[in-house]
Amino acid sequence: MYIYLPVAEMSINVFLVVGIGGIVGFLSGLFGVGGGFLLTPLMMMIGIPPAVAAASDSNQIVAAATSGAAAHYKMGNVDMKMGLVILIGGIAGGTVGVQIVKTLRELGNFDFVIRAVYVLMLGGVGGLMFVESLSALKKHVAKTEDEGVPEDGGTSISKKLSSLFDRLPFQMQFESLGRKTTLLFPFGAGAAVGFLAALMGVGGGFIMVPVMIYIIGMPTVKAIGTDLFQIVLVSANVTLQQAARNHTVDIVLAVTLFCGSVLGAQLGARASRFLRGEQLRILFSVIVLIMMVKMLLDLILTPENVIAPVRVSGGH
Amino acid sequence: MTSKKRNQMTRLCLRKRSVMNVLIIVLLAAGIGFNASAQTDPGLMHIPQITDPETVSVHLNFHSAHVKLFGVVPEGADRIAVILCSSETPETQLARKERVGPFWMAVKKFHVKNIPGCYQVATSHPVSAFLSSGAPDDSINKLRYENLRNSWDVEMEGGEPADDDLDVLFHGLIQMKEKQGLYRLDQESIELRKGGLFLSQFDLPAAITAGDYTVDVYAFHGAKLLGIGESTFSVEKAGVVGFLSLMSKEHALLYAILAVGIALAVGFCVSLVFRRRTAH
Repeated sequence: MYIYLPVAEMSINVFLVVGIGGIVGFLSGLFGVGGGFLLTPLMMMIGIPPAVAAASDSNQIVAAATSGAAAHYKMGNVDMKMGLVILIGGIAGGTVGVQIVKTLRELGNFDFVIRAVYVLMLGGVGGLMFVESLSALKKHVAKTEDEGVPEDGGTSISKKLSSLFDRLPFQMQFESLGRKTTLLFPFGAGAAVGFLAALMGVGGGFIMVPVMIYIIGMPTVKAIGTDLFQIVLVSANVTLQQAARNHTVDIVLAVTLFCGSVLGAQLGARASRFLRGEQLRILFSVIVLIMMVKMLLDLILTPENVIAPVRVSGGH
Repeated sequence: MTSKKRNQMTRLCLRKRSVMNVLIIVLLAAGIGFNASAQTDPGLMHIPQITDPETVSVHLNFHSAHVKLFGVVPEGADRIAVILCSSETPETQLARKERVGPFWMAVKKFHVKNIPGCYQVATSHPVSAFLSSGAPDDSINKLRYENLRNSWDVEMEGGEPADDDLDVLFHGLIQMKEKQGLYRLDQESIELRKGGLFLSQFDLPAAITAGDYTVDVYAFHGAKLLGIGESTFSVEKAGVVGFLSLMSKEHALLYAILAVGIALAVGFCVSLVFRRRTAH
């Protein structure tokens, strides 16, 4: 069964798209981290133009993050003030990112940049996670005790940084921290993540959550809730700008993906009960590293055709 | 298989074929009036032909479509060539990738104009037989992609020009179009039947774009061009596809708000249904 994507201007097997959404949703539910950064490269692999894949993924993230944020809001896990500071940074970063995407696409190097940044991101995140989870697994085997979450490093880093942040201007009281800290850091982190969201169509949770926990020093659950809240707004901003300026958002693609990811996330969350944290993380890092190798090979191996289309307004 | 069964199957096949011939004649009788504009040279016969369907609609479930062409060639014609070409030739922007250090990246950009988005050729004989027949150049040249280079218009932007740029660009473009199923050379695919009837079928791939398409028919007797014919059909985005495609370009802001609105609504509905956090 095929579905025609009006903006990508191509026909694609609907089960393939739902399946990809389902796999990424399953991994998200299983590992408790974002799937956006996996979804865009998977869509590129099945032939969806990179710019349409990234923009439609942002649209899909709006829906997925809304469902999560709504649930967290009810549980009181959203620090609105922190979320808004990150959001303002995210909008600034997202706006700059969309402009850069437009310029790069006009130069014809967008495909290269998006793939190169992905390789770096996937390699960095996958590599760090692999090393961390492997050492956690070794510790677990040595101690033969369960639960050995390595939070010491993060806590000590956040303590050192909090003394630095206390000396910076623009201090503000944050409910989730229970103390004052500078606005500059959450703003800067939001800007960086907003920029990545525009460039790659990712929600940025896989960077933002560790930053909020280990560096800003927020409790894990509040970090996840606040992150989801700001992701909804940052991704909505990116979707609006991509659709209005670059005409690259495909609603049909986003909705089809979401159908799969919702079901996958529910199944993944259930499956996660059967595995320990470090086992999940090591499995996840291996998947991320496999993706990285595949994309790296695409950049290095001689292409089948040295002539490629430069997409101006999504599709031909 | 028993001889009785074989006879039954043969009768069934013959009946199907005669029904097809009657259908073609009826369709041609109905269509001749619509296709009388092709004859430009008074020495050439007009080839009556019909395309079916006359409009191809691209809906949400569109994957590919077939367009059939029925016609009757002039008496004495022994070979035929049919060329399907999109009327619109939108500007295409292409990049040439070259190795920069260990990576392959786009280093030159080309603006290509006056090259059809879709170009499919179907013939009754191998193209080499037409080329070696000594037939008039302007009709047989259309059977080769190379002919398109006479009218294309290329502008380069960025990078150092190289001698092989145009060759690499043309062959890369053809390779890309053939992979998408938009360009196709289907030799010996048309059968000329008794009475000069012919039936040709074109496969329109998923990558086909909306617009008008022309189908030209050339009938030869050896090297002599006996007749030409022309018919048209159109491809239109319809229903939801047409609505969303138009909206995304003409009313981009409204489309953007719709995209975000749908995503927010779906997200809230899902949170109500599952009442738990889904990962992003």
